Amino acid sequence: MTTKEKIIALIIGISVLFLVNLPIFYFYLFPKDNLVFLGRRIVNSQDTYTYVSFIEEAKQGKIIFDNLYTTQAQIPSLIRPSYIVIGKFASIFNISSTSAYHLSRLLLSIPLLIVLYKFLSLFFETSKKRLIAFTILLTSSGLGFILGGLIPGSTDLWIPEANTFLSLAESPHFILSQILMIEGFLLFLRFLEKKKLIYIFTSTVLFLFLSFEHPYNMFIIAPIIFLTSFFSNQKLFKSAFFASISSFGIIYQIWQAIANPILKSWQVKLISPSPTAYLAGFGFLIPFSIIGAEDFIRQNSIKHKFILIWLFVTAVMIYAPLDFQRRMIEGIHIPLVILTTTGLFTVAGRFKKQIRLLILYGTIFILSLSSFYIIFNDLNTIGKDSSQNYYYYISKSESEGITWLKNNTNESDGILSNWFFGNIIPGITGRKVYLGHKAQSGNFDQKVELLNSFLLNENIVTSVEFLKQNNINYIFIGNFDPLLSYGFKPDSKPFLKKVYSKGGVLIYKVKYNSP
Amino acid sequence: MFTTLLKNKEKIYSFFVYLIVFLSSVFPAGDKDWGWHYKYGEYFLKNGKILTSDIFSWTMQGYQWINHSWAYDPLLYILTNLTGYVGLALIGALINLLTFYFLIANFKLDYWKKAILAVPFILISEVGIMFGLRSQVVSTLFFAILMFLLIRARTRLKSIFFLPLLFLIWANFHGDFTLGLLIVGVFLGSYFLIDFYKTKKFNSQIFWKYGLVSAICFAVTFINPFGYHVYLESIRHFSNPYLKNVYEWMPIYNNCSYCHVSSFIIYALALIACFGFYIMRKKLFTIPFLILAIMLIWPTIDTRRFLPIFVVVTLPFLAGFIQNIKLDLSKYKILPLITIVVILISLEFNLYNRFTNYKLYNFTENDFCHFASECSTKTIDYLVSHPPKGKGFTFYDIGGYLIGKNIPVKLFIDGRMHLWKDDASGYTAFGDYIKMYYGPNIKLFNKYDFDWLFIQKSSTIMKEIYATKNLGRWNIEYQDNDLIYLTRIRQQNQLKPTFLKR
Repeated sequence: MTTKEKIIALIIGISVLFLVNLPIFYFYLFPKDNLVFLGRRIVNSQDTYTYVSFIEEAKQGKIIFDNLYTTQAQIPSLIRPSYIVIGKFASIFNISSTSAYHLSRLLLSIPLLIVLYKFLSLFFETSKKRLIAFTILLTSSGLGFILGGLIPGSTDLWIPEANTFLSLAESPHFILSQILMIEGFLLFLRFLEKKKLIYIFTSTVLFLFLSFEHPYNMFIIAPIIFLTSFFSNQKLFKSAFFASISSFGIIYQIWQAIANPILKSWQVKLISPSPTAYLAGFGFLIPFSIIGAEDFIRQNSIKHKFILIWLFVTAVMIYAPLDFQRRMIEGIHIPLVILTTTGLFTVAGRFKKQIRLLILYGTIFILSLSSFYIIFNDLNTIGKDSSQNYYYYISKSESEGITWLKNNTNESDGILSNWFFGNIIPGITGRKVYLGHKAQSGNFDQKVELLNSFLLNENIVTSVEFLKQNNINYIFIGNFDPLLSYGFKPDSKPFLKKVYSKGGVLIYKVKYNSP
Repeated sequence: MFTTLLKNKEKIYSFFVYLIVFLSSVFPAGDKDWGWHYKYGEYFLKNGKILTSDIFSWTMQGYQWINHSWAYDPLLYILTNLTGYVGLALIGALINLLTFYFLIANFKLDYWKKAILAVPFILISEVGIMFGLRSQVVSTLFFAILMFLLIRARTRLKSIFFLPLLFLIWANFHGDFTLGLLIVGVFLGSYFLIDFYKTKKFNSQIFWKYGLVSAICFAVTFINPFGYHVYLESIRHFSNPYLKNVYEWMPIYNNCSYCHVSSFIIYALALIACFGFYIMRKKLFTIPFLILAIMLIWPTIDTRRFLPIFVVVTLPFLAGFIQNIKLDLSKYKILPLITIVVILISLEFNLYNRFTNYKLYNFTENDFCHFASECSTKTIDYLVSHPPKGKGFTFYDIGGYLIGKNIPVKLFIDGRMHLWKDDASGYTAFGDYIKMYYGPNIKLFNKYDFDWLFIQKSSTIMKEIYATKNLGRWNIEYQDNDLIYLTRIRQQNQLKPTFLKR
């Protein structure tokens, strides 16, 4: 690898990282008057503060995390090594959990880019092919920008783990899980080539670590390892053994999911969208990758088989009879791009030089349009000054009110608010909320109904009973809060005491011993 | 064994194409009209005669209805009792599979060509099959058989002699046979003119054969319990101003996710390209397909129920085009892998994602109620145990289910009645229903002076009741997530005004 290649790869990497992070940087640097930017974007915005809450918990000294999106009694049981480390750093450098979230995301992007380039180098011998593959990998997407209106749910617009560009904009553990997966695969392939046990051992350790970060990946990794070992003339037993030890960490996760009622209620259905949504979501990558796959299947090397096996296993697993089947899509973009690049060169190779270049660069441009669209959409939507986009901001007084909660409540206190604030309060305060996340709050719809009943309830005894049963100690009310829209008058409730009132933000403490 | 499999891989892959068409055609039974079809079938089998006058509504009691799908009703009755709702879903899918089979049966197609044709067929025919077995699904099969016979007639003339039998059955199963007659005319007329153009000779033998078969086809359609009235019933569809308020008569572009508009556009573009290709080469066999495609394209865009018919009439043309594509895919080593992936994904997607979503593995009465009419069995049970008294106003989509479940009350409206009109007075319950339910026409509503309502919670009329007292004062008797049953609160000394029907 020459210095020139390294510099070009670096420029490509930095440019993509700049583009990916542009909306977040922009809105942090240029906030709207009297508003605080929440640091989340359109894709997967509901989950951002879940991960920020892990960082906040780690900052506050926890190693095993609670689910802060429910006030139900629970035993801490979530182990997320990446967020422990990020939280500790945030604590040492005294930075907010939201800043730590984005900073760690950005920092983890760098090793991911390096590992990806290393992985691509396995398949492409010339620097030109490597750089083009790298560019396609970092920028390519589907046809959602043009077909989004016609094909509902085009995956390139809403499933971040389905392509690398969106993954770079996602939470740190998504990025870390891809690093671990690719590095683990690299070591595994090296083991098959060199037969040194140290490689399979290191690879197993990485996968073990991965099973805590993103356990779903193991359902893909185990069959890939089994099939690749089998097709590289390893014995059946040996292949099964490699696959089993690689997925060892999943046993803990399965046990947790079964044994822990809070985690059990968290098991939200993540069902894959229709095949047409995937087809639109990967767009032109699919026809090019079919051409590339024809080339790969004719090669007699294990690394070529490995790529085909990876794609085959993922394609089959995204509709496997599992409730989290959609999670299986993570990483598929990498083998798809390797095949696409091969296919693209096969097609371009049939033309004269100038047309060849036009095909190559024109295809890269077309493949990246949906990624540009995502950035444009972020800038456009978050930047709009309308009440709809209030979702990405809170007022300064609300921010101060939430900070008050952080400084004046205990770890055991539960907070009731509308679900918009409920989604961000755990991330900023590290406190539990009654309602804040459609999956993690457990029985979300039922809880909304119970909350509505509480708000309309004039009976003091049953109102207090509701608050007590749900371990709620504080009620947070923001500016123009919907909690007050249907006649709920907290000041008239004898069991509530106003403890904070500033800039339209109200916080009430529940008086359980009131007469 | 492996060698045998390899030898038969074409047959095995083709089997999977058909299996996937079948699985993709399985939708939960949810025909809004199921109930009255069922009761008509029951009446026929128990009494040995057709129920001709209305006994289920109070608005048009005794109305003499031309039930053009009368022969379907006893069949549905038997099938429901034998197989249940899941059976109706599976039988509907099987009929859709047969439809696909007949459309491509005249052509020699590799499995991948069948698979290509299966995609638009599955997507565009969804409008027809999405409620499981319906009389329209059976009728679409008749269209496919008709196309099969007409195309086959080009090489085996004897095929057309089966047409009268087809029309004899069809005319008793569904009113769409009238369109079938038009297709016969277009095809046989085109065949004759093409031959005349090619040979420059008037072949009187063929002329008489075609003419005689067409005439017999037309004649046998009168062999039904209603005689020529089935034609009049069809004509009524063209003059009904309220028809566009029924879902299946709405345009495809009007908020219709199951119409697969993008797939329809791609399909139509592919058709245009193929027509263009053959017209440039002066291939005359294109003519009947082209005429029918032109005739049907606007009705299809304007009325979503024509989507399956459009695809059935035009798919054989595409099949013929694809048949002629000379492409040896066997040299591509990746093809078996892609084929296996596509098969596995299709099987998984159907058997897990779709079937679980549709609750097909554990389909209950409540699921049927929900899929058909957005109701819940608890509400229906409540109506059975607390039968409404007096004259009520009912939601159109729930009517069929209420009839099927023997709810002891006469209804305002149900799925049979969209074309019903009292010839003497011009009164139409459906017209009044549309005015009140979607208006809401307060004056008309108050004129009826209903004793009870059974409507959608989200309806305009319900919003009016919540917001104002313009529609009277009402007591909520029972409600579920979607429907609400209300009774009128009358003051004790309030006299009930005489209901003025017209």
